[in-house]
Amino acid sequence: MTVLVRLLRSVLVMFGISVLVFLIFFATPGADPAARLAGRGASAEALAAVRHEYGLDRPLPVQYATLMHRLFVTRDLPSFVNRGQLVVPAVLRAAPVTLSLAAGAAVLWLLAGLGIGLVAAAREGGPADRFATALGLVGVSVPVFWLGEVVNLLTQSRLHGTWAFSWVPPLGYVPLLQDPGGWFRALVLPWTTVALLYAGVYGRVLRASLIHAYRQDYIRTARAKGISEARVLLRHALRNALVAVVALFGLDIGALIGGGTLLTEVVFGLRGIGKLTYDALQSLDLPVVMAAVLYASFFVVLANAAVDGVQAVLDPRRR
Amino acid sequence: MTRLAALVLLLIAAACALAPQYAAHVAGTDPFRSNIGGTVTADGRTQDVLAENTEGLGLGVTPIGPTWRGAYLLGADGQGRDVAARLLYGGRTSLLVAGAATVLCLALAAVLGVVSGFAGGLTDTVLAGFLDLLWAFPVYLLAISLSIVLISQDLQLGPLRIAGDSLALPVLILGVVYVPYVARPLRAEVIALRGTEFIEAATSLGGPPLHILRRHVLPHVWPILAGFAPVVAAMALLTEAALSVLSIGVQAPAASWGTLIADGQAQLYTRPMVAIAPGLAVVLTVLALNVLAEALRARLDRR
Repeated sequence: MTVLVRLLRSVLVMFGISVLVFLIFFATPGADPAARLAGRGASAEALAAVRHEYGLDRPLPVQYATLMHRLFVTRDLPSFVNRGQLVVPAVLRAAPVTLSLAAGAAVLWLLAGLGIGLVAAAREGGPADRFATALGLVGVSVPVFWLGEVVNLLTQSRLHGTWAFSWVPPLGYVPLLQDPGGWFRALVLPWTTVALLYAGVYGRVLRASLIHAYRQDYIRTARAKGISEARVLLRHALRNALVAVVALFGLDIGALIGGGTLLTEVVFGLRGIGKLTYDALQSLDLPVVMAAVLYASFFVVLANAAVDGVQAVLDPRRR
Repeated sequence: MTRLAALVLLLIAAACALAPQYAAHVAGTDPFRSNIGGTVTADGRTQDVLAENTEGLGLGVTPIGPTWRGAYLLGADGQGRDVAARLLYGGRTSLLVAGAATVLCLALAAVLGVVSGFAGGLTDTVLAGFLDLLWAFPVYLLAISLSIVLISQDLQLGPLRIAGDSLALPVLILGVVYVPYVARPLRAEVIALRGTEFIEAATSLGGPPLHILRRHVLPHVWPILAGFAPVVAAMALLTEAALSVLSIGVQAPAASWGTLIADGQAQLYTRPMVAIAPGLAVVLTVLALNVLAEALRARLDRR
């Protein structure tokens, strides 16, 4: 697939998702969407304002176009719960927090997965291999927000007085540009929490594909050429084994941005898109939820396209 | 490992099934009524279930901690309700919702996957396109969109009306969001089957499509569905807990492991057991399901 086709596909998927979100929020049978969007106990003026803002007396395709225009072009959709707050700028302001959390966690779990995978592949059935298996199984079984609470309980309360965790700052986010050290300290535990759940699975996948790669003919050929064992591992086996890891990573971005970070932010008091969504869910602030869901899903689709591109670089068969 | 996992699941299910008996005979309280002024006698000492705070500003109350026996085995929650009894009741809800969602998901996926793969042509293009779209939509975001709309107002499906606090809503939502996980591989499998020689032979012999479907395709579909069952149940349990923590899953007065974790957040540092115990229950159950899933997968692969 060429880059153009891939991009076109992403655009198509984004269009489909936007239609789906629109239908869920505006055409679910049961009640007047104006009453839903205006929040609980809205006044008659608020309802009239919603009808006007969203053009709810017009046909559905016009409503869809209006909504998309206001979400992505003019970006002036207001919240009806927090008067005067514009929804889209609030989402965009929260984005750096979510991206910091997701990116750091991903780096950490990829590194940990790489380490675990390499050690586990070196000795099949050895202690590292069994550890990877166990960690992978536990990782997919633990709710991330609950693990976050356990981490908080230990590092903020029970063990906070000990030398190991006395450095842990109170819950909250510190902007990277304002204080890089503070940013790191504020995020290292949330990163670790998320990474713990994924590292085992990645180690397992890397181990399996490394073992598979070592049985291939090209490894024998590379060794026969007389190149060093390290070079065989890095240039030949690992490069091919990474294809599977990258493919898995593409799948997990959606679960991370659209799920894992959302709840991790709530537990660790990081005011990102997840916390914004959480607060909006508590107050039934539907315009905020809608904007957050759409922007986050679009980001996931684009990130997936990027991962696809990386895969094509790694694996010439996919070009 | 597999036997142990099955045993753990059975024990958890049995314990949750006996929740009313536990509440009546061991806990001796109604876990759905707040017990703010109540007292409990343990070790010959009578204690308030909710004690006034003595630390700090002395504001608010601290619920009684684990007594490790009979009443308030795991302590009380912020409203003086027995955590252990609520844990069992919550388990009933969680297991019921996840189980029903799994059945719904597998049924929907079976219909969509088999119809799409077997019919081919335009039907397949449309259905497969729809499944791809759902697949690209991050599960939690889809579930959040559906939940927030459905719990804020009742759902009207023709003559059927589902109330915003009905357990049917989380079942419906969890059942729908995981459909592509099962339906897509199923469709691929059916398409592969359609190209096999024995089906080509049956077709060229003039076998009617429905007969071929029943005799030659469906027998290969059931084991695949069975293999997915524990995985989907595990994902449904985790997602139910997540949605309930976000307050858009199971709605009060019903309690699930997710809502219990959410209830315990306020007392995390003073009475951690309120949030930790239901989380442990989720971890144990999902872990057992995942172990079963691995064993099942290994067995199906070998065949």
